[in-house]
Amino acid sequence: MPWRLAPETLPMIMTEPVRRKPSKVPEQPAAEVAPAPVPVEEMVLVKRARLGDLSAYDELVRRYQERIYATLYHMTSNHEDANDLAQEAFIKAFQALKSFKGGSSFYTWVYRIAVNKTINFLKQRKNKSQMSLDDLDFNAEHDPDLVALISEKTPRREANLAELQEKLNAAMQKLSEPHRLVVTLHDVQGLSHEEIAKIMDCNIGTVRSRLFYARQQMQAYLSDYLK
Amino acid sequence: MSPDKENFELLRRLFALKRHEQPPPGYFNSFSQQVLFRIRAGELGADSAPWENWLTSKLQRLWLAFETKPILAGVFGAGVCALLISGVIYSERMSSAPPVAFAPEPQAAAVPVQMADRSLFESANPSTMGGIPLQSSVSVFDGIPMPQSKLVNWSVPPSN
Repeated sequence: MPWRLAPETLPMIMTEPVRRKPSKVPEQPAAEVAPAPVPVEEMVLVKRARLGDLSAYDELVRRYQERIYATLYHMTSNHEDANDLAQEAFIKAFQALKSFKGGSSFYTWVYRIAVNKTINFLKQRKNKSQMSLDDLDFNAEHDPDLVALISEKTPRREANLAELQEKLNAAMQKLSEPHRLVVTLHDVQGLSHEEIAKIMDCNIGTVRSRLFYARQQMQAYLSDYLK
Repeated sequence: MSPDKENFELLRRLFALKRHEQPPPGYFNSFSQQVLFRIRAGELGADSAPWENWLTSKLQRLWLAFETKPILAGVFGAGVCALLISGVIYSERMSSAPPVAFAPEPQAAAVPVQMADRSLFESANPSTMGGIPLQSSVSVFDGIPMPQSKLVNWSVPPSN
């Protein structure tokens, strides 16, 4: 049965206790970034949108569409699914604007809706191996991290970027949804542990432990490319 | 540096690849408009049937697939052209094929009627054969007696 949760009260799946504790939780490398105050202009836009002003909501969508889409795309590894889910998340957020009390930023709130929707979708998706990957931009070939990765004298030298992309996405799809979400938000999108904890409605320790476990899993799945 | 950290460092480099995955150019230009369109459509058509919503969703998904994958649009176009051409060829074959003849009804066949008289009978009562033409060399005009030709000795009177 699909989850139908009020965005403000999110007993999300991510709040469940960690089943497999990692052997070691790494030190936090950097201090957590303090949460940014909610921009006044954003609240003005939210109030206008709540009154039915679609131009204000259009502005809000434009602000966050890329980040929301990217998160959902990395979770699904499927462009069409990510597009559908992102649109539905923004539609649901608009319909639920009256329940948004401003306790968190609009961005975090929409993020929760989108993530909840995506996790429900992934649980119901029958064919988990279906991927529809976005193309790599032209900067990928010149990225120093990637150049170093594929130019070293290792077996992965033979692999081109497209193959790496496919293997990486396939490995991510093997992770459980909460672990995939943590890796996506932290290692791909660069969010802090605290921001992730807010989005996932869990404590920072859970975020760290999940991140460590997910990295270990990814390391095992991609061992041929990480030697 | 521990092996784990070393491997995580390589993993971190590999994750850089994910940041280079980008949707098709111009994708975000119309994204918010699509969201607003669906919001308006939802407000206007809140009472619409579920199958309409399903159909709209599927069509939007198909259109998106065409936008993002031109090769898919090409394959779809080629398929439509192939269907059109095969339809034209099939219809031409059907029109050039000889008309299918139906055997006369057993009752009618059992009655010994001479062909000429039968033709006359049929022409006088077309409904008895269901309006289906018979495939034979007998024409409906065969029963009409042709005027007999006679030789006429006609001479022009001499002029004065």
